Amino acid sequence: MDTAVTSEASKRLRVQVVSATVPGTEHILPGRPNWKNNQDGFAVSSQPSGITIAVVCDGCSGGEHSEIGAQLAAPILVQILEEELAQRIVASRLHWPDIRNRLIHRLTQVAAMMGCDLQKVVRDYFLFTTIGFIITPEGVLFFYIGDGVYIVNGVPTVLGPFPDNAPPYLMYAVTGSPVFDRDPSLAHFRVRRYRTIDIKSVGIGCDGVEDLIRVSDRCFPGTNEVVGGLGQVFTPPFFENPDRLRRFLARMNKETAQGSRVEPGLLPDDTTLVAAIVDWI
Amino acid sequence: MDTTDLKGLLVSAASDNEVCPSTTALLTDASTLRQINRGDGITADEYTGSEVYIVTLLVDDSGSIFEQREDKQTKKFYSNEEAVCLGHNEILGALLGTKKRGSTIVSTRLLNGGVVSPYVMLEHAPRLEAGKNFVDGGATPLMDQMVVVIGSVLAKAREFEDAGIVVRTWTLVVTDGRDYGSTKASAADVANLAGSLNSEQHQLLGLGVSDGRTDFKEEFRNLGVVKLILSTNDPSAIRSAMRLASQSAAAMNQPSAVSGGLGGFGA
Repeated sequence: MDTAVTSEASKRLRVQVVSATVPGTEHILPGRPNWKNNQDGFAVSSQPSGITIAVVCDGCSGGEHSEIGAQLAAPILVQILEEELAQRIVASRLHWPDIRNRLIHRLTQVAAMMGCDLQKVVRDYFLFTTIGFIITPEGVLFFYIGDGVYIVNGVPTVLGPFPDNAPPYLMYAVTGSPVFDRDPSLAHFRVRRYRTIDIKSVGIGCDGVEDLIRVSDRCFPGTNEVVGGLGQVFTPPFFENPDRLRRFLARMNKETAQGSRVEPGLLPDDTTLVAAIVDWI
Repeated sequence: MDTTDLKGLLVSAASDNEVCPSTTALLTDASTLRQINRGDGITADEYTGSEVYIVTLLVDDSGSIFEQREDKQTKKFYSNEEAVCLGHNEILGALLGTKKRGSTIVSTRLLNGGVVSPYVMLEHAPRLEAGKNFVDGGATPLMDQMVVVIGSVLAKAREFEDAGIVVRTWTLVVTDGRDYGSTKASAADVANLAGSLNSEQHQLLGLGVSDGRTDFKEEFRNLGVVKLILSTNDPSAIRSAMRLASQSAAAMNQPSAVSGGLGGFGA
């Protein structure tokens, strides 16, 4: 759990953040041979200045190793945002086309070291959706390319679905894609802004969080305990123990034996969630 | 822990491990539950890690450990309590030298003296000190206490697993003689439970200090303990045997721990 506090006259903004991920049952394939890695990546930064940045990237399930790109992109994007905010101070002045281009440039540099066929490397390793938030004393920003979920004061907003279940990926800027051809605006970060004083809690997640919302009235596998709504994640118990959120997700995906069959857990897709509570002390 | 919750954990664990009804009844009777509960210690909610290594030590504090014996060669008298204490503490020390020391919890019990320490984080585990927390306890209720210890391990493992934490366990039973004083449990009961701790995820070791009479291979086999270390009855040998046990404990706590890590030991 990360905590950041900044002073502003008599008010100090405090942000507590927890984050966790669980591989989906359609990736770990319980009871069956073969598996796929968790294809999500995420990164969180809580700065002494009080600014909190979080990014979740969800690798393309059709990509051979798209977890590589997702796990590289998340911390790289956080770093770029830290650098930008250090210069511009106020998040509302961030130049998102610049940020996008810097991220593409850095990832392309890495991809170029991985093989002769840049297009293939990007398709195999670097296709992922991106969603994140920035919390400052002045405002809260959500930014995204692709699908996912963002949550404000316990209310989720689901991004997508996209035609043909084909979300836009940032690195289509390198490979090209009919997705961008149809709607060029999908190639750029979209931003939603809120005033921090109106915020009690925020969250971001990959599209796996939609499944988490859907199974809220089901029981944890092998128990009579109901999973419950997403809102519980923004309550103090989830911030008192930094492992609580991971355990919550892990319990949902525990496989159980039904006779000779292995029953998978509740979340078919990789599910990554970053949750933050905001208060003034 | 509430005894109803504890009983639920044990019934669940017993069912999963195909423990017979009579042994399950013994495991969950009021007296056993009370004894297990005394060693409960840190809860899953209090623990902040995503995986845990549960180490449990059952140490013989019967009179024979403290008995003065004459070394036939040196003619000097010796007893084994200091060696047992140092050996126990060496196990803790070996665990502290592993990378995963921060995700290890430990409990130490005595055959007669009860709980030296409930489950606590390794860094807080108390050392055994002869004359202080390790004194002559009397008999050797090995079977009764093995039921309590195995029950403690099963309950704590189930509690943490149910909370979504990855669990491995390592349990050591140190004794210098066959059972004397058990009133409730039989060897069959212990063997029935011990089967739950013989797997890649769980390890149960017996360390037998020769008393000149007991066939520890047979003794531990009857109790369902398949991995054992044997020692002659002198402080130096006991220290060596405990050192071997400490290597086993540390090996299982390394990131690439594999089953059968004792290498060369067996019943």
